[in-house]
Amino acid sequence: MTGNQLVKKMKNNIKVLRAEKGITQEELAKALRVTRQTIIAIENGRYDPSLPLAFKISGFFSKKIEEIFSGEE
Amino acid sequence: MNKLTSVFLIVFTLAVIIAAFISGMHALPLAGMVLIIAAAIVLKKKFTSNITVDERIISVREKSSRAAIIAFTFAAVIPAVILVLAGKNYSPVLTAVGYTLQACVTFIMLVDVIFYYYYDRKSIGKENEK
Repeated sequence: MTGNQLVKKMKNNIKVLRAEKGITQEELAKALRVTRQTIIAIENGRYDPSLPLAFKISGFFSKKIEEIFSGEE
Repeated sequence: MNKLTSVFLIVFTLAVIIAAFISGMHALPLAGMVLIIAAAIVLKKKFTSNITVDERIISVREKSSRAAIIAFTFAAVIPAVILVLAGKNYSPVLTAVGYTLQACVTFIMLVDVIFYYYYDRKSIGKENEK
């Protein structure tokens, strides 16, 4: 994806990464210090996390942000 | 707070208001309100996890506040205009109530504008470059 493309919707693979790690939404929420509802909303693509939270998520899964989040045109 | 607790609190509040109307005891809603606040604090501590507020909750609150202002504005302006117009023909009391409602709407809109500019300026910070 190039910089001049307009991103309409964000996608993420948190659900997959969480399943790989074998943790529940509750455990992930506790680790990131957010509510479980926020994790559900992010996983379902209904809420885009802020940059600090995105960094927290990337740190938790030890992956780059762009490996977790991507944009849909 | 879970959904069941919220429903319980709403039902309890309604029950207290209805009981106050039926019995004519006007101190009852006040006592009920104190009870509800106490119950809400206790139940919130008992049933919720340590994390109750995060960035999504704040975002939801911002949206609900905006919706509340819009809803209040429309809900108050229409009766206010009707009361002012009706008061001219029927009773000056209605006119006064209408103007009071209009003043409330004006005040809330003014506060909204002031805080908008305050947070707008605050988020920009000092302009170093022109």
